[in-house]
Amino acid sequence: MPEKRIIMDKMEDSRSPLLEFYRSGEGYLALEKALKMQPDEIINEVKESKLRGRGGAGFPVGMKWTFIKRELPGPKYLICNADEGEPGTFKDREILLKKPHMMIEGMIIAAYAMGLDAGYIYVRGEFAEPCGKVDYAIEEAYAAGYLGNNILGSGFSFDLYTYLGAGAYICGEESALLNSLEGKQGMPRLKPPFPAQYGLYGRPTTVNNVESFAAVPPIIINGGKWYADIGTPKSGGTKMFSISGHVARPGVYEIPMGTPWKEFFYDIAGGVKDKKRLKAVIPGGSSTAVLTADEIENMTMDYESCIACGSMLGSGAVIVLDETTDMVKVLHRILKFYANESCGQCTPCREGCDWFFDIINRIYYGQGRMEDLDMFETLGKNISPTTICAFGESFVTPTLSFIRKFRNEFTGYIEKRRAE
Amino acid sequence: MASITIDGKIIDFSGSPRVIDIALENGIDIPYFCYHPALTISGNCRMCVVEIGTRQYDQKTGEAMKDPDGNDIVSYMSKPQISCSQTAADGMVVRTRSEKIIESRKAVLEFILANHPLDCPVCDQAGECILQDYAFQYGFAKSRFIEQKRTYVRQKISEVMTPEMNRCIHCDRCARFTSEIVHDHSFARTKRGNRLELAAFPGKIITHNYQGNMVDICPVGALTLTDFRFKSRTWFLKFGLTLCASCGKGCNVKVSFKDSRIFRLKPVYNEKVNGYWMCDYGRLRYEFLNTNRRDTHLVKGVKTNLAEAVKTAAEIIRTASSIGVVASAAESCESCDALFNLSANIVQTPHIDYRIEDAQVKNDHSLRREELLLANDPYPNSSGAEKSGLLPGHGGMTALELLADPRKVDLLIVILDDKILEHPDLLQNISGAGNLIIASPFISKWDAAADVSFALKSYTETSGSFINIDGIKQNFEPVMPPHGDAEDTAVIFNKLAGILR
Repeated sequence: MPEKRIIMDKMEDSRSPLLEFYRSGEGYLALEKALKMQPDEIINEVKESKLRGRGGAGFPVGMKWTFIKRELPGPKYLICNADEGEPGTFKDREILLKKPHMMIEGMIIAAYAMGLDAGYIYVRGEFAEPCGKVDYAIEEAYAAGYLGNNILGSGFSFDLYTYLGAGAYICGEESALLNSLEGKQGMPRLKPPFPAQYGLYGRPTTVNNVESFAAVPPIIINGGKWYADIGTPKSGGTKMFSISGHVARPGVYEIPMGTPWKEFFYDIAGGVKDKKRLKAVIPGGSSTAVLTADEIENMTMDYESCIACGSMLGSGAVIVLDETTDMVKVLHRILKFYANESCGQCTPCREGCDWFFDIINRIYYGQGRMEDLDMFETLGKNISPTTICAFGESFVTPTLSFIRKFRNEFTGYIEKRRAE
Repeated sequence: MASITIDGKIIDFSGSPRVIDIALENGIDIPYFCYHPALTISGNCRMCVVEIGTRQYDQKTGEAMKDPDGNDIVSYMSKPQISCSQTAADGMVVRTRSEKIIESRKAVLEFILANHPLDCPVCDQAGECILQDYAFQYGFAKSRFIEQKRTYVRQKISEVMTPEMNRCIHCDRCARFTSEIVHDHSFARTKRGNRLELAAFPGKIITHNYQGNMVDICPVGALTLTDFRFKSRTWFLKFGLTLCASCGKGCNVKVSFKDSRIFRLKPVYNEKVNGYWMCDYGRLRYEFLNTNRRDTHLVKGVKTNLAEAVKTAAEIIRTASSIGVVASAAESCESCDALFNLSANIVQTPHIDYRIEDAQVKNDHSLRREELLLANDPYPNSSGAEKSGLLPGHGGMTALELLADPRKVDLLIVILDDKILEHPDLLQNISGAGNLIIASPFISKWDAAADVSFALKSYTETSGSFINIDGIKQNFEPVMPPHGDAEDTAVIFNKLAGILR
């Protein structure tokens, strides 16, 4: 299977962020079509497409859209999660920079389908440039009558704003994002209640990823079935993967769900850089379990297959590690990131993430003890089930996978010290 | 009615209470740090975890499924849930002491203790520290944490509190209290991750009047009361319940004392009066009960016993042609009644009054501006004194008139309470009274001029009742022994009335 560009279609053109260029293709035709449809028809179409949330968890988008009670009085909100913070992920940035209108169109359709009043695009703090592009696109959309009051004479009104975060990883977690958007500290909320009942300012809110929204216009134009047929039986359509590390052609690629790993990696991304041997792959961003070259060999690029291999597809951030990679150093770097990014709210994560980093730091600098490796296991077991959000799991999962799969490298570090 | 099963005990409930509330009300212990019934749920400490399950029902018959031993089959959620944020539901089954839960709590304690300095020997909280209790209960003597512990730069955050943030377990109670109860946002969580720090704004200090409560609700010794710091180990103190007498609100307090010296006051929960809190003004104003206490009765400056003093006073009263009585709203209702009986019924003088402060004259029952609990009226029992009838009769002089010119009466009887002694200007003329009888728990310079001077028990040493600004009558019992020969006000005036009748 070669690349299949649906969202990334014509992205290489420098004019792609402009409304004029977007409209020269199928731009905003989906919105026109959607505004003539019943909201339920739209949601059914999205359900049928088997589009799953592209932010990392892979929750079915159509099902999420049914959680909002349309008839509830008062304002309801739509949030676009553009806080692309997972190390290794850089796919949303492409959309924000080059196809902002596609995402905006998807948002308007989503808002119409769920009867929402206003939308916020929460852009990660470091994305000043992409945020500017989105702001410009929003202005264009307002001028063209796609946003604001009575959109295209349909009677439906929707306002859209961008909000630049302050650069915290945890604000990509939807409830922390909502707190941050309200001007509070970016700390995840207790769940339940979920955002669909108690979201932004306590109102029903739907949060979706940039890529999820961008996938909506083609689904409306071509139908849910068309989209579903592209992918696997459980996850429809195409997915953008950002591949980085020791790979010949790093970058963002859009491929159908279910594309075999070998095809994606060797044919599309060009295999390992400099003809070295593949050692390991982190398939879904730094918070997912690392897979060895053997484990990933027969994987296909979709949610189920990745879980079957013992990891997660996450946000589609594939990090390639070749034979020269020092796994201790990689884990040291990963844990340094997580120790810095915990919000510090709940006990196991606040104390655990730094403890983890302290241990790997000792091992890395030659102060390791053999019992430290077992301590990762026992501490990790205590962290992941009890934290408020999934952050705890995010640093425990990769740590344990590194220790289990590359234990000899860690023991090597510890023994080297002893020998000296 | 809905019912929930906790540790095999079936408990009925109505409404939608939290699981932790039901458990605690029914004597099932669930440990917690960040939960506080008066604050919003933060759910950050993860200590109050329980297992939540639902009974399995047969799909065909709808009956609860049983195992071979006849017990209900319950399916529990795979992860432990925090009971503070869990709303009880009908048919819910909760396990609070399963192996999994004990393990989970141990794990939380290990994380909390990892960076805790364990400086209990020099920590004021030791002895009443729940972290200490839980560490003992669930504990392990040895820590696996061999890394360097986290330390914070010490900052001055307030005049009332001294922080020791290295001990902080980041439960966020103090910050939630400040923002939710006091509506003051001067204290909050700053930074993030392991460096998370509860702090005031840089260069600013907290100034609100309820900081002592932040110390009280701090589960560890991170916030300590500057006033109490290093004064006594808590286990050397005795405790007694009484009221705060520093304003008309009448907050319920716990007095900590050693011998006859008070070391601190802490609020006690009373839903109708003060909730869980008290103000710093009242909390820190206990020292007057420790100092300058009179322990003997005097007749013309000479120590004597109560019987002699009463006999002498009765003589003076009997021979006086006109009598003025300056009563006190710091006295209990029972003392006020005794005083009224003596002055209105026995000696029948119209010159009797308890009102010293503006708020009393204006009958002001309101709280001070921007205060939660502190009343305008500094006296604890103005309503009680009013109810006893301690007001000028027909043609009678007010307290302030009597004090301004005591020569207008032949005999002045005055109760010198702590508040009036703070206004010596009001009292400067009383030495000029023809005859002067003083009753006071305190030594004062006017004793020398008095014909008789009675030593009174303070309200912490006697029983009685106060009626607060909201009209709520609250009884109190003696919590500590009296100073020397000091006697209850009602006893003294009833004895006088007995002789004079």
